[in-house]
Amino acid sequence: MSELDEFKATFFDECSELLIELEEQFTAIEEGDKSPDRMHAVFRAIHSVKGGAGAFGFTGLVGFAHEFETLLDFVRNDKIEMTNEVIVLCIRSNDIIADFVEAAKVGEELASDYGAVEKEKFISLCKASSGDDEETGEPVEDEEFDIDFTPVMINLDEEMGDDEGISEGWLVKFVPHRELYISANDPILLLRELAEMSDIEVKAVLIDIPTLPDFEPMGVYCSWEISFSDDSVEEELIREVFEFVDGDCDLEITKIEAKPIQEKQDDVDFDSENLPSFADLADEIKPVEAEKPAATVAAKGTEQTSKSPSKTAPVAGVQSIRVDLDKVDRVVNMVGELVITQSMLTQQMDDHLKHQYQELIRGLEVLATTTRGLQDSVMAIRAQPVKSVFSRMPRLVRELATKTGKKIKLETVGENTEIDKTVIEQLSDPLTHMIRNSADHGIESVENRVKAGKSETGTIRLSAEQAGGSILIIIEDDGAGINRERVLQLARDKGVVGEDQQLSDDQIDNLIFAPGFSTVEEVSDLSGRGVGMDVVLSNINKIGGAVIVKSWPGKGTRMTLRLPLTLAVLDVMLVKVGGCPYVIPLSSIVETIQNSRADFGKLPTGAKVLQVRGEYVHSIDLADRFELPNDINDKDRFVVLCEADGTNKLALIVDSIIGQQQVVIKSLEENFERIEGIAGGTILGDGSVGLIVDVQGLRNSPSPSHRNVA
Amino acid sequence: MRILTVDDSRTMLSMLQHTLSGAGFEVIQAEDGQQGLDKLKTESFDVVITDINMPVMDGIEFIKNVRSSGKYQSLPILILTTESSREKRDQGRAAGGTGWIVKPFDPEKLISVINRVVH
Repeated sequence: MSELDEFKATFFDECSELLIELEEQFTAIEEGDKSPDRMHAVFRAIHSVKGGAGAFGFTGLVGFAHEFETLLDFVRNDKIEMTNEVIVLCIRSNDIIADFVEAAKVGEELASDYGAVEKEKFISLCKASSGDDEETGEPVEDEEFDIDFTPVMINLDEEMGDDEGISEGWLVKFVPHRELYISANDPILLLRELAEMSDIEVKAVLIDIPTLPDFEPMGVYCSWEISFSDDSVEEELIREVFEFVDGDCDLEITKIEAKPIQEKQDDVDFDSENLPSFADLADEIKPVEAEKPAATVAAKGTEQTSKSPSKTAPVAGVQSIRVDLDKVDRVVNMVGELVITQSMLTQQMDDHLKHQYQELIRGLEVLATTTRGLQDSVMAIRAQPVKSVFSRMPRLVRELATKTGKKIKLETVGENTEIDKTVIEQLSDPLTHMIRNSADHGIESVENRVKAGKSETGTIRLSAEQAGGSILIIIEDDGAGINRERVLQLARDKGVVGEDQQLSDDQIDNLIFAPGFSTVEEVSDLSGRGVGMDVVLSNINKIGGAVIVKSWPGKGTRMTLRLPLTLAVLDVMLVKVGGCPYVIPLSSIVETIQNSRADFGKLPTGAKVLQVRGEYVHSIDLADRFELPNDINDKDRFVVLCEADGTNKLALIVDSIIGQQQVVIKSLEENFERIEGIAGGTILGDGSVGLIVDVQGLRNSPSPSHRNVA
Repeated sequence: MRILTVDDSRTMLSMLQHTLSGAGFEVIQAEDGQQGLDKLKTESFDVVITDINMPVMDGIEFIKNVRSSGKYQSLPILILTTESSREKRDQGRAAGGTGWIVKPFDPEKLISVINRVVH
């Protein structure tokens, strides 16, 4: 990647962050929070986009951002009010900015009039508000230095004698104002720069230097006359040298005609290289004021409280670096391997060895702790707040409300909950889809809500929280709930459910995730888009998550997404079934029971159920399910009670329990093929392959043996 | 020579970094005025280059703060700005800014401007 490309990549990264911020800010503004902080923040964001775009010559983007910025500048200076109309314009303009950025990213040009309508609106809004004094606030576009404002005295003769070549050089009279040093400008540097341009003669005028009692250390009391002996240097260039002190000095540049400059002056002959700096001098004489207490800083800081840290501003002092995700992934992988090696070593330690090498054991224990700590730290690097996904949702809900004519409010909770970056990336689509679903099917029309005695505005609540080893993302609405009758009927019609199959309410609710199922006859513009909720489920399953729906007729629906904290490493219980090792994710295990103590019963269908504390739990014998030999006495076997999802339990019968450990997940689909009831594979400490039991999958799919019996 | 660059835009910071370190300067970065002040408290610099529009503490406020602590009265501070309006420059100068660089900057020009304000 070339350097320029790298800068561009940084710029695009930055743009997407800025766009997210803009989205958030405008959402808050739309909700009525029109605090100056927000106005400044949106201005700054657009300003940054424009600044970066300028550096890469994205002219379309610069042009649009410039007008947008001007409008926001007017807004933050209270010259234009942030009315709803303006907010809508701004939100649309965000999209346009996003389009420009996207086009720049892929190297395309947008139509030259793209965003022209909005641009016109910006301009007319600004014009209308500024009226006659338009000039004052608006940034001057041209990049040239606008020296024409300067109080410079210009010799009229020189103005008229504009032809080149006649003059013999320049005479520059440079009279600094007393305060020149305050801005840390130093005449010596200017003189040095002039000396680099051409041969010059410098004469210092020292008559204004006062006696010591009146001498102010930071004051400038000298002035200079600089003569250029030839005219090869353009006046413009000379002026440019004085660019920064323009306004802090009187500058007079005159052409020296024909006759050579004055004879060498006797008074002070300036060797610009050796001139002592007046700033240095000042430092030496002075420091009376130099030790001003820090209180001054504090006082100055409080003068403008409105500019002090805003809510959204990052906390100063937190330092960060940006690292390629690839590099982090490499570390994650290596840590994964380290975990395996560590658990392998631990496994190899049999009792005999343990007895012999106690030091080694202690070392291994420390290694285990350290590995664990290392792993947590690496995972924390990959974690990101869900905010980046949540922040796109308010906008979506707004659009949905407009399209459906419903009134919908979105509440978000727990935006700072952190999840693995890969999970976050995969989250956006399913979440969008589920919220669409809530808005489209869940929330009722205003009429119906009023009829049902609810408030006109429906609420969708989006929340994230950490629960043990998982993250729960909950989408809840106060709508009509799932129409079970209709869902069941449709499922029967479509053959998703057999005609005489009886389903519980929960099972019916979860049918909306069944493949090929959609409750809306014609694919609606909103939730439709050709994919059903089954795609949501498969996407979530892909990242090791699960979805549970719970619905209360007339009151609303809750969809709970349970996601793993990380994708790479899993805490598991290692068990044996039919002589083969299997692993069960620890997060789904509730408890283990000795088979001899378990209380089993049989349903008329032949299905085995386990009774635990008055609850009947569907049970599966893994040996039967995976068609493995089962020659172990039933009494010696174990029951692992699992929680397939938030509500449903499942009892798995295994031969023996080996222990707990961590494993690195390897995808079966990528390396072999998908197997029903197996979520993936892993390499165990001794090098053998252990299969990860897909608890949820087992719960949902009727087992072959079960089918045989029925 | 050590240069403190203060800008909330990573793009700008990295471009400055590239240009300046390419020219042999040592570059330290800060993302807003407050961070800039914090750096100045513990480290010393030969030049400061600062953006104007930043969160937490903007460039003007930053410069005022730097100047008001007697220690840095002769530290050159260059203002990096897209604003080419007179008004903004006057504000920057009034706060104590030494000079300015208009974004997007030309690398050569940037170096020459730095040389103009540094001993």
